[in-house]
Formats: sequence, structure tokens, C-alpha cells
Amino acid sequence: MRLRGYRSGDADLLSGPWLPGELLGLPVADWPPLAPPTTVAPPADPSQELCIAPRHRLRAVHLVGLGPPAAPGSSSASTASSGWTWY
Amino acid sequence: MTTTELPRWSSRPYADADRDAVLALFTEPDFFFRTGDPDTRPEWEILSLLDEDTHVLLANGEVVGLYAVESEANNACHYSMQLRLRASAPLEWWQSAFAELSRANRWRREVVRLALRFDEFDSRGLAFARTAGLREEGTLGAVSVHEGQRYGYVSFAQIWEPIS
Repeated sequence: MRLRGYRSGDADLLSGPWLPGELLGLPVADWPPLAPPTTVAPPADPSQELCIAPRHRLRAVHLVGLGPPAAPGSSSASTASSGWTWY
Repeated sequence: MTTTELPRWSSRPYADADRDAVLALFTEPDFFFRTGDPDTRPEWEILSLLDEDTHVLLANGEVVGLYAVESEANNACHYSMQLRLRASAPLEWWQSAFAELSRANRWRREVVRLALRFDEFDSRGLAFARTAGLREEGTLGAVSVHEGQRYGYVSFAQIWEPIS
């Protein structure tokens, strides 16, 4: 599997019938069809990396705390915990 | 499909792409969504009735109505709902859509009171409210003029036991 960076055309992958904050973003069985979907913000901070896995059913992977090291004097990445989430 | 079969419901916030479908809803003389005279409103006035809370309601992917849910009373789990389906939608669709909306609105937050109100001249809205298991709370008389006569509105609510 080869990951690529997020594009604006991938926005549809970032919302769906998932429980917020769970590790594996699988659909919830009895999700009310008129409930607003859980939405993940597009990447905007270098401490969070959100990548796309083309041709996979769970296509977005959120890598937290694995971004490039923070610049000296920046605290943006120092409190992030490492982990990943599939959507 | 016969009209009594229940459709697959979906919804989305109103957007410009829905404009033609929504303007078509307001050509019906009893599409009472935030107005008592829908069919004679000009386009700009119809668009001014739609806000960020307004959602289009789709039955099997087709726009058949509008709804909005707003928070009332400083986050005390008190919400109000405005719901309107087009004239061809049977009463069973209103009841089914309301049941789904009620479930969706309570999905990730507590709702203690959900209030709806319908004008006295709105026979379809009142027929829905009186068959949906809602509590009828009374009529505030003579609040509007419709086709030369004064009418009030009737308040309804569903109340759940508070859990917090």
C-alpha cells in the first residue's frame, strides 16, 4: 500500500457514520440516517499528517504526532500523542 | 412504489444546488415553512427564509421537504423543530420522517423537550402533530392573518425524562 498526501478532492472521505474519536472508523450499524456525520478536519497543522490510501476501502489514514519535528521554539508538536486512525 | 410505502430518508444542509428544488416546494399554496403564503413569495423572500439550520429532506434521494432544528433556552436540552413535507407526501411520511429526525437529534446529545407549532389554518401540519404522539399544549390565538382572517398557532411538544 502506498500512501499519498491529502487533496481537496478527498474531502468526501473525511465524514461518515463513525463514532467520534474511535481508532478504526467503521460504520455504526444503527446510525440514524438523518444524523449529521462525524467529520474529521482536513490537515492544517504539520504535527498531524493525513494521508490517502488509493484503492483501499478504508482510504484515509490519520497519523498523529508523526509529522516533521517542530521548529525550535515551536510547541505545536510537543503535546501530540502518537497514533493513527483509519477512515 | 405506492405512496404508503416508507421511503429511505436522507438530508443535507440547504445549499445553492438545492435552490430549484426548494423554490418548487414553495409553489405549493400550503407549503407552510416559515410563511403562511408560500406560493406568492418572490424568490428573494423564499431564500431569506432559509438559514444555516435549514436542511433539505430527501425521500429516496429526491427533495420532498425542509426541516430545521434550533436550540432554545440556553442549552437546557430544549429544541424546536420546523418540518414541512410537500403536499403529495402522505401522513405516514410525515410520521416516519419525524421519527427519524427525532432519533437523529437525540443521537449524540440529550433532548428533553422538542417543540413544534402549527398555524390553525395548517390542516396537514395539525393532522400530523395530532397523530404523532405529541403533547398538545394549547393555542395562542389571533397571531396572524391568512386569506383575510385571523388565526392563532397551536403548540405541541415531545418531552423525554431528563437523564442529566
